[in-house]
Amino acid sequence: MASVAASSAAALLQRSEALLDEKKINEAVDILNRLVDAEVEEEGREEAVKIKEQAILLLGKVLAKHSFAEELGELVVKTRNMIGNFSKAKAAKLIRDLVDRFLDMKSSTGREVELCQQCIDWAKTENRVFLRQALEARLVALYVDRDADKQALTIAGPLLKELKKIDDKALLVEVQLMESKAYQKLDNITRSRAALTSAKTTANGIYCPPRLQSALDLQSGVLHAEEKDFKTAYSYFYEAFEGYDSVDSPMAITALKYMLLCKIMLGIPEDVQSVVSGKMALKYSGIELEVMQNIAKACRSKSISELERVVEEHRQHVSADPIVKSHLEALNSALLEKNLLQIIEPYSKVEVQHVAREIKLPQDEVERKLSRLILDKSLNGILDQGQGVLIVYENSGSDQTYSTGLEVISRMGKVVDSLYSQTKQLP
Amino acid sequence: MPMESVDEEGLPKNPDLQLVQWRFLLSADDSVGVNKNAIWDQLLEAIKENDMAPFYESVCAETGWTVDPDLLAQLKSANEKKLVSLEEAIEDSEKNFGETEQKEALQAKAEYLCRAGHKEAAESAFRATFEKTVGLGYRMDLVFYLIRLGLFYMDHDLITRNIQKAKLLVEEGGDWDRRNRLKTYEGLYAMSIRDFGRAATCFFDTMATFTSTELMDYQTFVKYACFCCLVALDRSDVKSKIIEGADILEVLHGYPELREFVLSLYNCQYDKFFRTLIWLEQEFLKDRYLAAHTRYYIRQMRVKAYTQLLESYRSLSLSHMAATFGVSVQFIDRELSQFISAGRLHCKIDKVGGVVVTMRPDSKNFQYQSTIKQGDLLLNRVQKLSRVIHT
Repeated sequence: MASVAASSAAALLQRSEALLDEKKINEAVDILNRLVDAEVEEEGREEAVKIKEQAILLLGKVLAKHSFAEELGELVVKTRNMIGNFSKAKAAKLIRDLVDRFLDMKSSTGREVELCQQCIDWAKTENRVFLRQALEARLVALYVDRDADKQALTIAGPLLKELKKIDDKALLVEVQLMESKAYQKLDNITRSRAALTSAKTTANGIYCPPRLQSALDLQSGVLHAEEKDFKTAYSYFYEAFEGYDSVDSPMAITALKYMLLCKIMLGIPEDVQSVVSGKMALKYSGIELEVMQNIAKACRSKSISELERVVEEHRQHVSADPIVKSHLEALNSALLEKNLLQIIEPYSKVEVQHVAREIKLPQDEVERKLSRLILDKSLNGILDQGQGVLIVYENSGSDQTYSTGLEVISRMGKVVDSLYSQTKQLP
Repeated sequence: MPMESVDEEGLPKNPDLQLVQWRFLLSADDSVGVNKNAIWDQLLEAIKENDMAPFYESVCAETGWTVDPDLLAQLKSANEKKLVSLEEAIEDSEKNFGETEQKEALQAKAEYLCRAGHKEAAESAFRATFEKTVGLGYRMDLVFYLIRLGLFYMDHDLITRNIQKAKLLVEEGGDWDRRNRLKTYEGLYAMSIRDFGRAATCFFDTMATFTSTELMDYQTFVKYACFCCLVALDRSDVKSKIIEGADILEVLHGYPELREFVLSLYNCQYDKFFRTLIWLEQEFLKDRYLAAHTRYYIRQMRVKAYTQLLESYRSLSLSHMAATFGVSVQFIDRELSQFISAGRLHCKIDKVGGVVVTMRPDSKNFQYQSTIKQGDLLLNRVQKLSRVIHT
């Protein structure tokens, strides 16, 4: 840790900037590291501190841009240790900047959570309330991304209470949106909807940047889709798509994908083609949209075997997104049911083998599905495995005669009782 | 209810039902697979903390651990000292202060006796406090104490009497909070006496407003609710309450075995279901309230699974059935014969053809029979009536 005099420090800083321009990254990083590690001499302290701060910021930017995740993590730790050199506000700003860059890199070293937690603990001891809240919000987002929804909710709970008290609307909207996402992943749709409504109410009170607004729209769309209201979901996704498109965010393609999914679930797969060839969607054509288009084609053919084949082909893409996966499963099941009922329609007694052949699916799967339909009372019939047939019963309206007869008899019984008690009173 | 706020609204854990659960585990069979030493340490800690002299004696007697006479003497003396000071406080309040202070002093003594595990003394102390208490809410709290005491010692008489008393108090004008709390207590007791239907209704009524962490934590509550519901309610109810119940789904996410149990039966994945029954048996044996009902429950669930499968078939080959359940044909044969002869399943085994044939109890036939029977009874009574009138 050689001590570097203030003036030479400034010179080194400029040299490193020059090196960066020439794209000699490693050398520049070396110089900056030296600057950061250097001890500060008493004379010219203010200058030296300022140089150090610039060095740290610049180093952070460079490391993030070139994805040196490990080094950036270490830089954060180093900065924390050097905190005595800077004023509290400056230190907080530096830490926040570095942590943001580190998390934005999304490089999944596995250290993100640990790092975040350490910084939060440090912020608690240093009593930097705003910094701690911002870091906790980032940690919640991190947990939700990693599917650790329960942990996200445990942190989000008290954080929301604090934020509501100090009325930090901007951060409040973000955390409420995260809460809604976490609940939706845990299948608790009621809570998710409640969280989203409070997020929207809070967002109404502030200027909402387009990215956040589009995120809110996307989440509303997802929740409406969960409730099978695909028309509203489609309009929300459209809004989200336009918003994301205007800021050139990679989330735009997700919004577009969900729009197509809604069209498919609404039963109008023909529209998928027109949406995809629309003006705005053209620049997003890629594998994701192709998958959707293939699924739409399979739906149009109304053939369940075709749909299963396409889903199997694109299994990776489909299962990567849990929302798409669950909706497609529901679609699959509905289509299968419709096809089966269509095939069975003209028969009163039909071989299960024949049904399996018509629908081009293996026999046990068909049998299992049929037994499920009978159990759920969607199909009024019974399976006879001994003969390998399905017998369909007529939909006879339930005969009310006997039940009304029984009721009449019980009423008569009551009449007889009352007459009995009255005769007792006769002399 | 979000997890954090639930704990704050629970009543104090007095007497701590966790202690009896530990005592139960210590006296349980070794096959259940619990770490007895660890539990014994935890229990000892709690006994020392709460000066539970009589409880310590009974635990040692039951489980066969040796009584430490020093510890016992220490606990007893601590008991006496505290009692003396509480008595003084009571006399003091009677002399110098008004009703409320007297009641508080009496309640303090009763709570201490309850925490220390003196059953009869606590009961009488609570009764004394009850006399002095005004205000429906406070009275109900005392009744809850008594119910908890009853649950601690599994004294059925005490529990039923106090639940009745609590119901009367609630009718007089209890607030919603206490009403729901009473429902939870009622549900728990119903479950421990095998009345799963009533337990299921009680639990689901209070699902959204669970605050009774003194009885059990939220996850255990959802677990009990699922158990009761699956055995007592039919398929459509199970669908609306569990499969589409938002709160339950949230807990199921973190509890994979329970989730598998619930979903495998609903989705007709019978082989998975049978495997979860093994897990289920372990859970039941470890739980104080449910251990006695293990065999009954598992038998019920087996019957349910068979009925569900047979419902959609008129005839079903034995080998296919065995394959669906993931067991051997002999096992299915034995099981089915057992249940058919007990009248639980309406089917017959055709061993020659290797099929099971269901006989659907024809509802129309049944209605015809009952019409004839009831019509006959009615006619008899009208005849009797006419005879009476004409005399």
